[in-house]
Amino acid sequence: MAIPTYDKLTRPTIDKYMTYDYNEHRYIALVDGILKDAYVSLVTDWGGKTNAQSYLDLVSRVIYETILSYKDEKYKNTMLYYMAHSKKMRIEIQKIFYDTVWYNRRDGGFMMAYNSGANLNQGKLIEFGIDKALSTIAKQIIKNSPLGTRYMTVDINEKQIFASLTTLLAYLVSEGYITSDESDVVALSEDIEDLPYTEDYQLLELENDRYLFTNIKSINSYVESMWIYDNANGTW
Amino acid sequence: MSFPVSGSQYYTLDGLNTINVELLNPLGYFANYAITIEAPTIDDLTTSIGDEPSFTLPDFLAWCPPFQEFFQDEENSSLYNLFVAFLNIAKLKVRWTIIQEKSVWKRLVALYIGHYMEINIRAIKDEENRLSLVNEEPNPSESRHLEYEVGGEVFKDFRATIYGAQFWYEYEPFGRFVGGLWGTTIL
Repeated sequence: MAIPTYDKLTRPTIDKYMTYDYNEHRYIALVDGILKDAYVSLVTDWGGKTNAQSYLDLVSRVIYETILSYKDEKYKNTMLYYMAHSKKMRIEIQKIFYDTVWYNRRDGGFMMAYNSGANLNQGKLIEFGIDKALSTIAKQIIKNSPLGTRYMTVDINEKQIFASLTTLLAYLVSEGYITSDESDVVALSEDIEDLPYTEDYQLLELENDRYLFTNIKSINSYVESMWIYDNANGTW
Repeated sequence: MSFPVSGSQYYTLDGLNTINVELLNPLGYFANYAITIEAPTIDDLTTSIGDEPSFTLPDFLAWCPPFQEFFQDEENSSLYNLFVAFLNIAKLKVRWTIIQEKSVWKRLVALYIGHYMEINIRAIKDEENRLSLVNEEPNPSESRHLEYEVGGEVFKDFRATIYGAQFWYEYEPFGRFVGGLWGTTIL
């Protein structure tokens, strides 16, 4: 398990409220969902459904980049994976969409973040920056959730606790980490230090002769599979 | 040779003391011998204090509640592996055979873990982006000062953190007898 079962989505959920861009790996709010839950008719505002949907596409990119700005670049893939596969994060992103649509209708919004100007009298350049892209409320929604942390609170690596050395060794053999002969050596010595050298997983001894297995290369497999999506049958 | 305990003790030539005793024994020059001590004796230490109690995540959270949210998903939490790694070291540093009192021992182990967890969370946050490959020049007006410096002046003992201060207040009398906790290792 990595993302807890109660929170995990096997793949991004697409419904009448949000769709998903598999190239950029981000949710995009849908016009009908905005009308129903945020009470804003973007069709009227933007003079047509196609224009309104294009606008929401831009809003989505701004929201994702703003969320990612809270973390360092090294966590980008991990974060995108988590945002795509967490039920809780999907709800948070949806809330930010609704808030941002409202914010853009008022005096701020992502359009304002793109603006800049020069005060010729003072010789100063005026820039609004990314902090104006989202509203105060949206920023607080981010800070109140794992979206705003500098480090992931959930470990997305595949992890498993084994109740005995026997079950651990059986798992390692079944997954191809070690051979049966290597397993027999460890079973005889009852010492995990006798396992062959590896850089693929981490083993920690727990209380009561239990073992915590962590596949520290999980993110590699996730990222590789993120780019392979079959539109024909909707699987990764 | 240690404190005499009840029952027969069997000594061999495996140390300087036994060699010295052997030299004083005119009848058993370089021979094994058995000594039965009738009195005074004390109970065997390992028998009297029992096995080391188990220490679980709830034991840690009882004394360090701010960390609870970090471990709500137990082994799926990103800091869980760090907790287990610190626990294994804490048991070596906070010896059950020295404390011998279950509640006090659990509190000390929890505070020891809390001390290093606090330091590591600061390091993980990396607010100055020292561990980032992104080329961002720090803004002098917004740059944050790290209050600890391993090997420097600020982080020089357990008083550097809230939990470390509590730990060392309680454990200092014992700590000098435990390898790695006293002297230059910490300073």
